[in-house]
Amino acid sequence: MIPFYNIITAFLGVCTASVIIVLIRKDKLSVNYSLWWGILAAGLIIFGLAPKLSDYIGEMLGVHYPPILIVIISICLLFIKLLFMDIHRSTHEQQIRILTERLALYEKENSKKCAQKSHSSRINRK
Amino acid sequence: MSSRHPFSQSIFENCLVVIPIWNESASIKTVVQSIKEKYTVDVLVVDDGSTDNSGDLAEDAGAEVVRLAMNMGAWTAIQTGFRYALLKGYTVVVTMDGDGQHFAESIPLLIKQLATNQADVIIGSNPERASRNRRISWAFFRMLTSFDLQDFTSGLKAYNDRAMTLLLRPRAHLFDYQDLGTLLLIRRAGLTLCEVPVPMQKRLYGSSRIFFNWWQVIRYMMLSTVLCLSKYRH
Repeated sequence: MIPFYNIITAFLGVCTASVIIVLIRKDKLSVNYSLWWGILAAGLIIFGLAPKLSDYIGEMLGVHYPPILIVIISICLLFIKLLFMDIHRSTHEQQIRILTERLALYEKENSKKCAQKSHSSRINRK
Repeated sequence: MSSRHPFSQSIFENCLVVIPIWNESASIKTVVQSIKEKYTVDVLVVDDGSTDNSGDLAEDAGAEVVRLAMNMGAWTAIQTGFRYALLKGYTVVVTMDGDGQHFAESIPLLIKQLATNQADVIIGSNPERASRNRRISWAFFRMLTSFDLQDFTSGLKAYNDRAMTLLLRPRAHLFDYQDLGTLLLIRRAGLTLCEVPVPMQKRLYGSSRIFFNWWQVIRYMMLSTVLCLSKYRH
């Protein structure tokens, strides 16, 4: 009989997966990020339904207190995720700056052309 | 062109003076006029999202003005100037601050040094203007970077088109100022850097936009140290 708290964990995994799917469906989350969150949700479901798995893996790796293995793996994954997020933010910062520079020049050229157009239409009217 | 000055007009051909500004309404008109009165040279003021009428005042004084859609920092404003220069066919850009620290007379000096030293970037240097603390920090960065420079934060520089092209690459778009990061990138690319002593004065109005409180100074020191260490012997 699976303990109640493990059923809760598995349920949380199912909820996470459902939320991800809904967010993608509503175009609030890019499908590119679904893989990461899908793996997280799968992990919650698997370890929820098969709690002995963490003991088995922990013993294999020589971890004295196997339940901490899940915590350590989760923290490591979060660190990696945060690092990737900062890398992506840096790339976006680069792109925003380039776009701002180019936009400023386009706006200047555009306002010059508009000024020239209105000037020549005033001359034509005369 | 003033007859008092020994430089011929031809050195200003294909040269653009770029002045990045952010809320410099108190001084920008004076700065642009001082250049325009002395030399026949094109001046581009890049308005970095000012909330006052700095851009309009610069235009009234005779400068071309490009306005960024939002405040992005001095370095992005200068890169916009580089983009404009290369688009319009300029081969030399001289950057100046809009706060009145730099003299217009330094412009032809830097342009001439660019040709004489066959350098890609000329830094207008004035270490005497710096406080004791700032000079200590420069000595620290000199040790970290092995740069033989006296003035790391001068905004008065001359760039040729090779340097401008390098500094418009995507990897150059994460710096906030035209100091250590850009200098390290220039060196890494094998371009030549030279320093030339120039006179400077205190800014006419207001206070530093970079070192306006101790937290900003500490933050700048920490980030610059990390930058230098990460690019050690780069």
